Amino acid sequence: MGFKNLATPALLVLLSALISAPAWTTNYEIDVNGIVCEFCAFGVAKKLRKLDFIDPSQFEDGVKVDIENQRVYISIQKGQPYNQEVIFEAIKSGGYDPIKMSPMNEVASSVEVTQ
Amino acid sequence: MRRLIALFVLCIIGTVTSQAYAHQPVMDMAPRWNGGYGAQTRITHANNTTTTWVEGVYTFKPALRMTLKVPYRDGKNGDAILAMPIKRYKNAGASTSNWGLTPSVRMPTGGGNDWDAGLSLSYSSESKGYYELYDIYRLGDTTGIDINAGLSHADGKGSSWFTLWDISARDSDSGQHLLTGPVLVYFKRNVIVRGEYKFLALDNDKQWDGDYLSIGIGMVF
Repeated sequence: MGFKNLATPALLVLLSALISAPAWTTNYEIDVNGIVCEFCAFGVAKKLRKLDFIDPSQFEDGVKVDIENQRVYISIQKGQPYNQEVIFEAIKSGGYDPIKMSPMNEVASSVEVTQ
Repeated sequence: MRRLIALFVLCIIGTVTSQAYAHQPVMDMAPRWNGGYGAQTRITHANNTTTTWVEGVYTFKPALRMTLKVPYRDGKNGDAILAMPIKRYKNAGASTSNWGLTPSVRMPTGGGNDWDAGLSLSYSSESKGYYELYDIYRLGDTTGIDINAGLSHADGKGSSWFTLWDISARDSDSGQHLLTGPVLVYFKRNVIVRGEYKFLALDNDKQWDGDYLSIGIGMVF
Protein backbone atom coordinates (compact mmCIF):
# COMPACT_ATOMS: atom_id res chain seq x y z
CA MET A 1 0.00 0.00 0.00
CA GLY A 2 1.54 3.28 -1.09
CA PHE A 3 1.67 6.61 0.66
CA LYS A 4 -1.25 7.95 -1.40
CA ASN A 5 -3.44 5.04 -0.35
CA LEU A 6 -2.69 5.69 3.31
CA ALA A 7 -2.93 9.44 3.18
CA THR A 8 -6.62 9.70 2.36
CA PRO A 9 -7.97 7.52 5.19
CA ALA A 10 -5.50 9.07 7.60
CA LEU A 11 -6.71 12.53 6.64
CA LEU A 12 -10.33 11.49 7.10
CA VAL A 13 -9.58 10.03 10.53
CA LEU A 14 -7.79 13.24 11.50
CA LEU A 15 -10.67 15.44 10.28
CA SER A 16 -13.20 13.27 12.06
CA ALA A 17 -11.19 13.48 15.28
CA LEU A 18 -10.99 17.25 14.99
CA ILE A 19 -14.73 17.56 14.49
CA SER A 20 -15.72 15.36 17.43
CA ALA A 21 -12.84 16.26 19.73
CA PRO A 22 -13.17 18.52 22.77
CA ALA A 23 -13.33 22.07 21.54
CA TRP A 24 -10.20 24.15 21.39
CA THR A 25 -12.28 27.26 21.14
CA THR A 26 -15.60 27.80 22.84
CA ASN A 27 -17.20 30.21 20.41
CA TYR A 28 -17.96 29.51 16.79
CA GLU A 29 -19.46 31.42 13.92
CA ILE A 30 -21.59 29.74 11.31
CA ASP A 31 -22.38 31.29 7.95
CA VAL A 32 -26.02 30.62 7.15
CA ASN A 33 -27.65 31.25 3.80
CA GLY A 34 -30.78 33.42 3.83
CA ILE A 35 -30.90 34.29 7.51
CA VAL A 36 -32.04 37.91 7.15
CA CYS A 37 -34.91 38.15 9.64
CA GLU A 38 -34.71 37.55 13.37
CA PHE A 39 -38.37 36.65 13.68
CA CYS A 40 -37.98 33.99 10.97
CA ALA A 41 -34.76 32.80 12.59
CA PHE A 42 -36.33 32.26 15.99
CA GLY A 43 -36.51 28.54 15.23
CA VAL A 44 -32.81 28.28 14.44
CA ALA A 45 -31.90 29.73 17.83
CA LYS A 46 -34.49 27.52 19.49
CA LYS A 47 -33.13 24.34 17.87
CA LEU A 48 -29.52 25.20 18.66
CA ARG A 49 -30.24 26.02 22.31
CA LYS A 50 -31.59 22.51 22.76
CA LEU A 51 -28.21 20.95 22.00
CA ASP A 52 -26.49 19.58 25.11
CA PHE A 53 -23.10 21.12 24.44
CA ILE A 54 -24.29 24.71 24.03
CA ASP A 55 -23.10 27.04 26.79
CA PRO A 56 -26.10 29.12 27.85
CA SER A 57 -23.96 31.56 29.80
CA GLN A 58 -22.67 33.12 26.59
CA PHE A 59 -24.43 35.27 24.00
CA GLU A 60 -28.22 34.94 24.37
CA ASP A 61 -28.59 31.56 26.03
CA GLY A 62 -25.62 30.34 24.04
CA VAL A 63 -26.75 31.53 20.61
CA LYS A 64 -26.74 34.84 18.76
CA VAL A 65 -28.25 35.45 15.33
CA ASP A 66 -26.59 38.16 13.27
CA ILE A 67 -28.91 38.98 10.38
CA GLU A 68 -26.64 41.77 9.12
CA ASN A 69 -23.94 39.28 8.21
CA GLN A 70 -26.07 36.12 7.85
CA ARG A 71 -24.24 34.44 10.69
CA VAL A 72 -25.11 32.52 13.78
CA TYR A 73 -22.76 32.57 16.76
CA ILE A 74 -22.79 29.70 19.20
CA SER A 75 -20.90 28.99 22.38
CA ILE A 76 -19.88 25.45 23.24
CA GLN A 77 -19.16 24.39 26.79
CA LYS A 78 -15.45 23.96 27.34
CA GLY A 79 -14.30 20.36 27.14
CA GLN A 80 -17.63 19.19 25.71
CA PRO A 81 -17.42 17.14 22.57
CA TYR A 82 -19.57 18.48 19.80
CA ASN A 83 -20.56 17.36 16.38
CA GLN A 84 -20.74 19.81 13.49
CA GLU A 85 -23.23 17.59 11.69
CA VAL A 86 -25.65 17.85 14.61
CA ILE A 87 -25.26 21.63 14.65
CA PHE A 88 -25.90 21.88 10.91
CA GLU A 89 -28.90 19.58 11.20
CA ALA A 90 -30.36 21.82 13.91
CA ILE A 91 -30.02 24.85 11.61
CA LYS A 92 -31.60 22.97 8.70
CA SER A 93 -34.54 21.91 10.83
CA GLY A 94 -34.83 25.60 11.74
CA GLY A 95 -35.45 26.34 8.06
CA TYR A 96 -32.07 27.60 6.87
CA ASP A 97 -28.96 26.34 5.13
CA PRO A 98 -25.64 26.41 6.98
CA ILE A 99 -22.54 26.87 4.86
CA LYS A 100 -19.50 26.70 7.07
CA MET A 101 -18.54 26.78 10.72
CA SER A 102 -15.35 28.24 12.03
CA PRO A 103 -13.89 29.10 15.42
CA MET A 104 -14.08 32.72 16.44
CA ASN A 105 -11.18 34.85 17.42
CA GLU A 106 -11.98 35.31 21.13
CA VAL A 107 -10.81 38.91 21.36
CA ALA A 108 -12.28 40.09 18.09
CA SER A 109 -15.50 38.13 18.54
CA SER A 110 -16.63 39.86 21.71
CA VAL A 111 -16.46 43.20 19.92
CA GLU A 112 -18.00 41.90 16.71
CA VAL A 113 -20.93 40.12 18.29
CA THR A 114 -22.01 42.85 20.65
CA GLN A 115 -22.33 45.37 17.84
CA MET B 1 -46.06 15.41 22.42
CA ARG B 2 -45.82 19.09 21.49
CA ARG B 3 -47.17 18.31 18.04
CA LEU B 4 -50.15 16.65 19.64
CA ILE B 5 -50.73 19.64 21.91
CA ALA B 6 -50.50 22.05 18.97
CA LEU B 7 -52.90 19.93 16.91
CA PHE B 8 -55.25 19.74 19.87
CA VAL B 9 -55.20 23.55 20.22
CA LEU B 10 -55.98 23.92 16.51
CA CYS B 11 -58.86 21.47 16.83
CA ILE B 12 -60.26 23.37 19.82
CA ILE B 13 -60.12 26.61 17.84
CA GLY B 14 -61.82 24.80 14.99
CA THR B 15 -64.85 23.94 17.05
CA VAL B 16 -65.73 27.58 17.63
CA THR B 17 -66.10 29.35 14.10
CA SER B 18 -65.92 34.55 6.34
CA GLN B 19 -65.11 36.89 4.15
CA ALA B 20 -62.34 38.16 1.90
CA TYR B 21 -58.66 38.09 3.05
CA ALA B 22 -59.29 34.73 4.64
CA HIS B 23 -56.89 32.92 2.36
CA GLN B 24 -53.82 34.83 3.46
CA PRO B 25 -51.09 33.08 5.42
CA VAL B 26 -51.39 33.25 9.16
CA MET B 27 -47.81 34.41 9.19
CA ASP B 28 -45.87 34.13 5.99
CA MET B 29 -42.47 34.42 7.60
CA ALA B 30 -42.75 32.05 10.49
CA PRO B 31 -42.76 29.48 11.88
CA ARG B 32 -40.58 27.92 9.22
CA TRP B 33 -38.96 25.35 11.51
CA ASN B 34 -39.80 21.73 12.19
CA GLY B 35 -42.45 21.47 14.88
CA GLY B 36 -42.97 25.24 15.05
CA TYR B 37 -46.36 26.57 15.98
CA GLY B 38 -48.01 29.90 16.53
CA ALA B 39 -51.25 31.73 17.10
CA GLN B 40 -52.46 35.21 16.39
CA THR B 41 -55.58 37.22 16.78
CA ARG B 42 -56.66 39.99 14.42
CA ILE B 43 -59.45 42.49 14.58
CA THR B 44 -60.66 43.66 11.19
CA HIS B 45 -63.18 46.32 10.34
CA ALA B 46 -64.79 46.40 6.90
CA ASN B 47 -68.29 46.76 5.51
CA ASN B 48 -69.37 48.36 8.82
CA THR B 49 -68.64 45.07 10.53
CA THR B 50 -65.96 44.24 13.06
CA THR B 51 -64.59 40.70 12.96
CA THR B 52 -62.23 39.03 15.39
CA TRP B 53 -60.07 36.32 13.90
CA VAL B 54 -58.36 33.61 15.90
CA GLU B 55 -55.69 31.94 13.82
CA GLY B 56 -53.29 29.10 14.41
CA VAL B 57 -50.42 27.57 12.48
CA TYR B 58 -48.42 24.39 12.87
CA THR B 59 -45.30 23.62 10.84
CA PHE B 60 -44.64 19.95 10.31
CA LYS B 61 -41.46 20.79 8.41
CA PRO B 62 -40.39 23.93 6.51
CA ALA B 63 -42.12 22.62 3.37
CA LEU B 64 -45.45 21.83 5.02
CA ARG B 65 -47.71 23.78 7.38
CA MET B 66 -51.28 23.61 8.53
CA THR B 67 -53.28 26.73 9.32
CA LEU B 68 -56.70 27.35 10.75
CA LYS B 69 -58.60 30.66 10.80
CA VAL B 70 -61.73 31.20 12.75
CA PRO B 71 -63.79 34.40 12.46
CA TYR B 72 -66.15 35.68 15.12
CA ARG B 73 -68.50 38.62 14.57
CA ASP B 74 -71.82 39.97 15.73
CA GLY B 75 -71.72 37.45 18.54
CA LYS B 76 -71.60 34.51 16.15
CA ASN B 77 -68.99 32.15 14.81
CA GLY B 78 -68.24 32.34 11.11
CA ASP B 79 -66.92 29.76 8.70
CA ALA B 80 -63.50 28.42 9.61
CA ILE B 81 -60.81 27.99 6.99
CA LEU B 82 -58.38 25.12 7.12
CA ALA B 83 -55.36 25.31 4.82
CA MET B 84 -52.24 23.34 4.10
CA PRO B 85 -49.48 25.60 2.77
CA ILE B 86 -46.83 23.70 0.85
CA LYS B 87 -43.68 25.74 0.50
CA ARG B 88 -40.45 25.48 -1.38
CA TYR B 89 -37.73 27.65 0.13
CA LYS B 90 -34.61 28.98 -1.47
CA ASN B 91 -31.94 30.42 0.77
CA ALA B 92 -29.23 32.31 -1.06
CA GLY B 93 -26.70 34.52 0.69
CA ALA B 94 -28.48 37.59 2.02
CA SER B 95 -31.94 36.65 0.83
CA THR B 96 -34.54 33.99 1.31
CA SER B 97 -37.57 33.30 -0.82
CA ASN B 98 -40.31 30.76 -1.15
CA TRP B 99 -42.99 29.57 -3.51
CA GLY B 100 -46.17 28.45 -1.86
CA LEU B 101 -49.09 26.35 -3.04
CA THR B 102 -51.95 26.36 -0.56
CA PRO B 103 -55.03 24.19 -0.88
CA SER B 104 -57.74 25.23 1.57
CA VAL B 105 -61.29 24.48 2.58
CA ARG B 106 -63.89 26.79 4.12
CA MET B 107 -66.05 24.82 6.49
CA PRO B 108 -69.66 25.68 7.36
CA THR B 109 -68.97 26.13 11.06
CA GLY B 110 -70.97 29.37 10.95
CA GLY B 111 -74.24 27.58 10.50
CA GLY B 112 -74.54 27.07 6.75
CA ASN B 113 -74.20 23.92 4.72
CA ASP B 114 -71.76 24.95 2.01
CA TRP B 115 -68.18 23.86 1.86
CA ASP B 116 -65.85 25.92 -0.32
CA ALA B 117 -62.55 24.81 -1.75
CA GLY B 118 -59.67 27.16 -2.35
CA LEU B 119 -56.23 27.23 -3.90
CA SER B 120 -53.56 29.87 -3.70
CA LEU B 121 -50.20 30.33 -5.40
CA SER B 122 -47.80 32.68 -3.69
CA TYR B 123 -44.24 33.91 -3.83
CA SER B 124 -42.44 35.87 -1.18
CA SER B 125 -38.91 37.10 -0.91
CA GLU B 126 -36.98 38.81 1.83
CA SER B 127 -33.55 40.34 1.85
CA LYS B 128 -31.75 42.79 4.07
CA GLY B 129 -34.05 45.77 3.98
CA TYR B 130 -36.69 44.51 1.54
CA TYR B 131 -39.71 42.25 1.64
CA GLU B 132 -42.28 41.30 -1.02
CA LEU B 133 -45.23 38.92 -1.20
CA TYR B 134 -47.40 38.09 -4.21
CA ASP B 135 -50.42 35.88 -3.87
CA ILE B 136 -53.08 34.84 -6.37
CA TYR B 137 -55.94 32.71 -5.16
CA ARG B 138 -59.40 31.34 -5.65
CA LEU B 139 -61.67 30.60 -2.68
CA GLY B 140 -65.34 29.82 -3.21
CA ASP B 141 -66.64 32.35 -5.77
CA THR B 142 -63.81 34.81 -5.13
CA THR B 143 -60.64 35.28 -7.13
CA GLY B 144 -58.04 37.64 -5.74
CA ILE B 145 -54.57 39.03 -5.99
CA ASP B 146 -52.57 40.42 -3.08
CA ILE B 147 -49.29 42.26 -3.25
CA ASN B 148 -47.25 43.32 -0.23
CA ALA B 149 -43.94 45.05 -0.81
CA GLY B 150 -41.75 47.39 1.17
CA LEU B 151 -38.83 48.01 3.43
CA SER B 152 -37.60 46.37 6.60
CA HIS B 153 -35.52 48.02 9.29
CA ALA B 154 -33.78 45.79 11.83
CA ASP B 155 -32.26 47.30 14.97
CA GLY B 156 -29.78 44.43 15.44
CA LYS B 157 -31.15 43.72 18.90
CA GLY B 158 -33.88 41.30 18.01
CA SER B 159 -36.58 43.62 16.77
CA SER B 160 -37.45 45.07 13.40
CA TRP B 161 -40.03 47.16 11.56
CA PHE B 162 -41.53 46.42 8.19
CA THR B 163 -43.18 49.30 6.33
CA LEU B 164 -45.06 47.82 3.42
CA TRP B 165 -47.62 48.83 0.84
CA ASP B 166 -50.48 46.50 0.10
CA ILE B 167 -52.64 46.13 -3.01
CA SER B 168 -55.58 43.75 -2.82
CA ALA B 169 -57.89 43.10 -5.77
CA ARG B 170 -61.01 40.93 -5.59
CA ASP B 171 -63.40 39.56 -8.20
CA SER B 172 -66.49 37.68 -7.07
CA ASP B 173 -70.12 37.13 -8.04
CA SER B 174 -71.00 40.47 -6.40
CA GLY B 175 -68.46 42.46 -8.45
CA GLN B 176 -64.92 43.73 -8.21
CA HIS B 177 -63.09 45.99 -5.78
CA LEU B 178 -59.53 47.08 -5.16
CA LEU B 179 -58.08 48.16 -1.84
CA THR B 180 -54.67 49.67 -1.26
CA GLY B 181 -52.83 51.13 1.69
CA PRO B 182 -49.95 50.96 4.17
CA VAL B 183 -49.01 48.03 6.36
CA LEU B 184 -46.86 48.35 9.45
CA VAL B 185 -45.34 45.23 11.00
CA TYR B 186 -43.26 45.04 14.17
CA PHE B 187 -41.28 42.02 15.32
CA LYS B 188 -39.70 41.46 18.68
CA ARG B 189 -38.15 38.04 19.16
CA ASN B 190 -41.11 35.70 18.63
CA VAL B 191 -43.85 38.32 18.73
CA ILE B 192 -45.41 39.96 15.68
CA VAL B 193 -47.71 42.99 15.66
CA ARG B 194 -49.32 44.00 12.37
CA GLY B 195 -51.56 46.92 11.47
CA GLU B 196 -52.93 47.86 8.06
CA TYR B 197 -55.31 50.40 6.63
CA LYS B 198 -56.50 50.02 3.05
CA PHE B 199 -58.46 52.55 1.09
CA LEU B 200 -61.13 51.55 -1.35
CA ALA B 201 -59.54 52.60 -4.64
CA LEU B 202 -61.90 50.90 -7.09
CA ASP B 203 -65.43 49.83 -6.30
CA ASN B 204 -67.72 47.85 -8.53
CA ASP B 205 -68.84 45.48 -5.84
CA LYS B 206 -72.43 45.37 -4.57
CA GLN B 207 -71.38 43.73 -1.31
CA TRP B 208 -68.35 45.85 -0.46
CA ASP B 209 -68.53 49.23 1.21
CA GLY B 210 -65.66 51.43 2.36
CA ASP B 211 -62.12 51.01 3.65
CA TYR B 212 -60.47 48.14 5.49
CA LEU B 213 -58.69 48.18 8.84
CA SER B 214 -56.82 45.32 10.48
CA ILE B 215 -54.82 45.13 13.70
CA GLY B 216 -53.28 41.91 14.95
CA ILE B 217 -50.82 40.37 17.36
CA GLY B 218 -49.27 36.91 17.23
CA MET B 219 -46.60 34.70 18.72
CA VAL B 220 -44.60 31.76 17.43
CA PHE B 221 -42.83 29.03 19.34
